[in-house]
Amino acid sequence: MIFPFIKKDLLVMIRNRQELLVLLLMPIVLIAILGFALGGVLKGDSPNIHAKVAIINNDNEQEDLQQFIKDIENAGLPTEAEMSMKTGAQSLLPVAILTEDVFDSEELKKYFEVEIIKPEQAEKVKKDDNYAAIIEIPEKFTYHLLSKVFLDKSAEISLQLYKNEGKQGTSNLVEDVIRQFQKQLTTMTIVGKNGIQLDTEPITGTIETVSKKEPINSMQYYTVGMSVMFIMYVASNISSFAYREKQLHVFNRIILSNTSRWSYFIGIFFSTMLIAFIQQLILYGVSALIFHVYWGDLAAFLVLNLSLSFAIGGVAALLTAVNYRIDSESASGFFSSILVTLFSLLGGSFTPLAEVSPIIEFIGNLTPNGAGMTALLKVLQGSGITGIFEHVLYLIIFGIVLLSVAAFSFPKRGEAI
Amino acid sequence: MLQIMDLSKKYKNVQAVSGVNMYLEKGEIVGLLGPNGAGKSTTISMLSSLITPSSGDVRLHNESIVKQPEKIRHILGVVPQEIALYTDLTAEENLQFFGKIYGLQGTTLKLRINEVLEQIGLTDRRKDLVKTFSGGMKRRLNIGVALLHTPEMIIMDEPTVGIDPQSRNYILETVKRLNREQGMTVLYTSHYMEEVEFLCDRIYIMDQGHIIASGTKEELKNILSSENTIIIKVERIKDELTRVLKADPHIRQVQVQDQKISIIVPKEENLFQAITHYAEETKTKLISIEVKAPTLEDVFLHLTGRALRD
Repeated sequence: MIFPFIKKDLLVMIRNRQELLVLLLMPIVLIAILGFALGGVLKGDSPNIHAKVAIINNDNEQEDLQQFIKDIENAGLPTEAEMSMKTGAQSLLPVAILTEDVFDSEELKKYFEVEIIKPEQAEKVKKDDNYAAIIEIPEKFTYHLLSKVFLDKSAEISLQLYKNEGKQGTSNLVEDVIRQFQKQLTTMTIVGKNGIQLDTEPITGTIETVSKKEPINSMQYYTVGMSVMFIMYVASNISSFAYREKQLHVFNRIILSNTSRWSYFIGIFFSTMLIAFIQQLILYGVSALIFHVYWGDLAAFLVLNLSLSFAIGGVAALLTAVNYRIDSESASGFFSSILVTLFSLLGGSFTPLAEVSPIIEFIGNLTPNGAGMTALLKVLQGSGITGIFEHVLYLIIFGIVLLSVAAFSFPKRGEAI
Repeated sequence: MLQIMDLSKKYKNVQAVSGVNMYLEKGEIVGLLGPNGAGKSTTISMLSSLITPSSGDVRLHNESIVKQPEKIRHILGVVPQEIALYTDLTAEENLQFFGKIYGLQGTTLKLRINEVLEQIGLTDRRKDLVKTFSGGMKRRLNIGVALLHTPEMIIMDEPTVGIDPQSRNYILETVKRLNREQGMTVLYTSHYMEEVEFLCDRIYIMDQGHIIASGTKEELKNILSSENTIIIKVERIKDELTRVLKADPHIRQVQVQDQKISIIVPKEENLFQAITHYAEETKTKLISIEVKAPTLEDVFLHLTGRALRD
């Protein structure tokens, strides 16, 4: 009995160009505008950087290491401490760390092209304008560093950085990397001085090393943001349409056919759910084709969109019940004009507002779009179904609660006419 | 077949329908005549089980449909006054949707859709969106939807409002044909007395929530057997003339419409001289004076003091 209602709603929706424009075209346009205009604002947006960096290496790591090992053998240290220092020194070769672990790391090698230059070519390279920055490593750099770290010998340990003024942006980035590197070395010096075993984890040049999540770029962010915003208009459209059925006395005809109010009501719920789900698939499909926003875990993506559509079905059912009860379309109007905007703001469709405070994040996640958006971003960052389970559960409970409230408040026989 | 007993409906402080008693026998066409706001649509809504009465009962084959509304729904077709259709769907899609919710399926549904489209003369337009239809075509489809599940009885609430004469005739002929060929029982409400006169075997006249008269056309007209209706046509209506006519103790009703004044007078009274005198006195130019046989309009005028279309 529900199928004719779903078919009818689909046909009516397909033939209503104005609503199709709102539900499909407008979000695509907004994704394009916001995604391009605010590109680079989010962490995941890769800046278009390519910088040539020269490293003039006056140091001889192996020689310095051997000299350091001799020093500790002659220092009369306990055997255990001596062994520990030898092992630590072998994993703390600064030039190798800088050239291999920092500049040749996965995240930095996209941006920097590093050339190791012999000292005799130093003057020539310094005059070459193609390099964004030149790093000069002094003689005995490794030896002095190891001696300072392990034996607390005082020594001047410094790197020389030459910045190309014509490439200020990229040379500043190189400076940032070097400062980070120096900071790391300084930390090691302090740690070593206190006699604590050195961490043998390699120092990397990444800016973010704590999380293993994939970063989100603006196009991905606004694809999700606009999709979960515009899914809410499906609820207001369907509920408005359902109220117009009452105004046109079509609802009376439906009741006279001995169709129960429940069938009608469940029909609205499932129509909304289906249309919302199709809308999301179209929006994400177009985003994949045009904006190259792809989804890793398709199962998680589908489960989440189904549960979000389920919640939106509940919203449509509630709006319909309220419209019928107050005998006006104003519940749908209020929802589409005020609540959608408010929910979208709280849910983070316009900007990641959740970063402002945990309370806003909590409130945002109470909205269906906010919960959906948080979970979809997690899927984009590599989460599977288990990672988004709590959001899926919340959306389903949200839909059930709204549907129950709607069923309770839907006018009984004689009241809805 | 259907008995309506002491039916009333009250909305807050408004008594929409008060103590209505009616009955319908199988195979007859019964008219419910009354001006707009008389309570016809509310009565229809109650007896089709859409709204619950404040008091009274509606019985189908002696079983209360107030308590068991589903009893009447599967044998009843209702043509609402409004165009209750999906205008973004085609005629055929509308019929498919309503047919399915009435439980028709497959070949049966296809056959019924073809038959109904034939009956309402829309076979050629079946694939067209309803929003492209004329008012008359929409009205016909509005009727078609009510016929789809082959009801025993059909209730038509002002089915010809706002359409051209050709479509109106088509609808009236369709109603006659349904009654004649399929023995369908029809309750036809209208404020067009000529439609009710043309179609109905028996008539109920309703005003301000009450049934004020009922019977066959002849029985109702006999109410006016002792009276005549005189139509006075004048060049220009003057208030003074209306006033003196109303003041005449022999004249029972005075009704002004366009350039005509209808008066109801006792048959034995000859008022030609008096009318001529009143016209001269008020300096009104008379065009004609005509005595006509009573109509249902006159009956309504006689009973309520108002015209049906007031």
